[in-house]
Amino acid sequence: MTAQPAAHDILFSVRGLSKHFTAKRTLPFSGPPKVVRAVDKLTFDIHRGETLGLVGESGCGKTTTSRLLIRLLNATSGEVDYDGAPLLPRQGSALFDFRHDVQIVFQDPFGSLNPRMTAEQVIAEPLITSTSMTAAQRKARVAELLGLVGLSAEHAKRYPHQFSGGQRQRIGIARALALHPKFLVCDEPVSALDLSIQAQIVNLLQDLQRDLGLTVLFVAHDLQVVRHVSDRVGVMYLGRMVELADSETIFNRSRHPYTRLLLASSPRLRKSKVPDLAREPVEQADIPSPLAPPPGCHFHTRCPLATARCQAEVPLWRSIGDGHHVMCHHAEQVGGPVAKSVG
Amino acid sequence: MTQPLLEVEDLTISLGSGASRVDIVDGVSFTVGANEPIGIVGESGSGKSMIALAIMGLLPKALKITRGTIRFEGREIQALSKAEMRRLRGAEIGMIFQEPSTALNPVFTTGAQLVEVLQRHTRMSKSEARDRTIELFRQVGIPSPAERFNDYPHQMSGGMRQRVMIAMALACKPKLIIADEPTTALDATIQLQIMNVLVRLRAETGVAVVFISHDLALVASFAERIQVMYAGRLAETGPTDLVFNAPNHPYTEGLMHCAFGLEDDVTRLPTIEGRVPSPSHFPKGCRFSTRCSHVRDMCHNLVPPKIPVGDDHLSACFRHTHFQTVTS
Repeated sequence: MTAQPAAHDILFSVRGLSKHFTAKRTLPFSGPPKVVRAVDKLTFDIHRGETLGLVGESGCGKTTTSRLLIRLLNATSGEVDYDGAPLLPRQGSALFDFRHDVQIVFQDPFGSLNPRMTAEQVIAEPLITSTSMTAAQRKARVAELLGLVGLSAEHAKRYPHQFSGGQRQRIGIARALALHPKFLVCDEPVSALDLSIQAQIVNLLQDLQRDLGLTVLFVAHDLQVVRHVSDRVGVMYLGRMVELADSETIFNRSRHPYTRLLLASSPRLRKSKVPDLAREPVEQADIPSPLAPPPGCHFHTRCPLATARCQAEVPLWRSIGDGHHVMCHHAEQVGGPVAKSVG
Repeated sequence: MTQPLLEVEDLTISLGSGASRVDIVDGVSFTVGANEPIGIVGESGSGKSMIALAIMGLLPKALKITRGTIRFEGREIQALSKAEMRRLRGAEIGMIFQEPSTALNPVFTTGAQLVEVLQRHTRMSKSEARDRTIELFRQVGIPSPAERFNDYPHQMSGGMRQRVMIAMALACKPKLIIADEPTTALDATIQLQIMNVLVRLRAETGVAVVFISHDLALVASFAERIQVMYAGRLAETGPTDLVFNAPNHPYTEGLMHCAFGLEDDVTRLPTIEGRVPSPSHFPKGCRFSTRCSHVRDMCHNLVPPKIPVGDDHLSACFRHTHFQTVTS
């Protein structure tokens, strides 16, 4: 394990980042509107050139976090330093410059491409809005980008409906790379794809990251994909980050009960033996509503280690060495290797 | 040998007719024994959901069964009248769909919807049906079932709604349940809960289950026998252990490499090059021939028959046969 990275190796420094949404009232006169703490006081860094995986179940705030980092959403409170300078106060041209550096690949390769634009037009659009390239230069750049993502020039004039899901995702990636970004958010980039196509896109993203020196925030719910692509992994639960460590530590020596539950829940194929879900202990409790998360540690309603303290006191986000951060009163009691498979 | 519960023989489901006819399910045969859990896996567009709908007699109007038969306890399903089919559905064959929020009626309480099912298919009185519903809610692990009886679907979480769907499928003690992607819309930790409910109820009631999913690990955890579909045809069928650990068909092999690659520490994931052909572009011979690394000349012209490769293990591939060339 390496020592803490020097300041210039940190691309994003996030301190106490929060985003609250006001929920619509379902009935008139039903009292003050409820507030959803979609992202609640996150503190973490993203290192230059790494892939940081962000996992969690639906509603945990992983997508909101990624949107906050690229300023598609404005934070409620907290600080973010990008490349050593405060990000959140940026306005106007300073914000415009930042937008060149960050791009996003969306989950849905069907909804994220304009059906009336050809692949070429989709990929060229950021070049038109953000550069002074001539038409000929743009054409050359589009051809280069198509090649980069494994498509050929013959695809340039086709419309999104003429492509398969995997090819559409390649177009989305080409568009994201058009302006030479430094930071790429991949929000569930392969969840909508079939297994055999997933692998093609994951390999492509890894090649591109290595060749172009990108820093990547990889948001996904599929633990196996995240494990494969990420250098470090953050785990979120109901708006809070509950654990952050290098990928190997998260998947083998996790210190948070929720991370362990998540790992045990993911069905695995083993070469030696077929997993048997029937042998897993039944865990009955539902995920609480983000509108009314439990007090104290949000996970205490489902946690096998929960004590009175967990119901009353929010655990601190603390370092337990080697860049391993955890938010749990009882992290020291969570030990030993994670059970390797379901069953 | 006793008669299987469900026999699907040479099932072919087509879209359109004449020259533009496309067989989106082509020559699929399999059986389900009483009490047996079987799995069907395949990627999107492989036709696995169409098979489920055909068994239930719920195929969309544009699709027709053009060849083959489906028999449930020896009775041919296509020959049944609409009224007989309605009796069969619900009473003898239950189903669980992917999306519990659209499968339940939003304007009735979940309890009332179960009572309706029970009263339609059995001679229960309203209060008997109510008691049975609460008992079913308890069986599928809904906490405080008597109170949840009066909940509308929107007051429940996705996991709870899926439990209601399972309770509904089980309500009339069916002999067979068809579960089409029953946990795909759920989060990982909730998926595990629902799978545990299914496994436990199968053990308790002995109901046979056809479990359909794109998730190999999930099917492997549930089914004793498995059918792998590709582009509307069965690629390989056999005991789950054999199909997963000693796959014969190049497609199954490729899929397993993809899945195991994610679990093992490899720097580069194995892939299957190319993509699934669209139904209008299905190749003439073997439908996997356009992506197969073992392809031979004959694969482009001949549809491979199901060839036994082991105990109860069939593979639709010429790869390990001695057939060489065919003149056509």
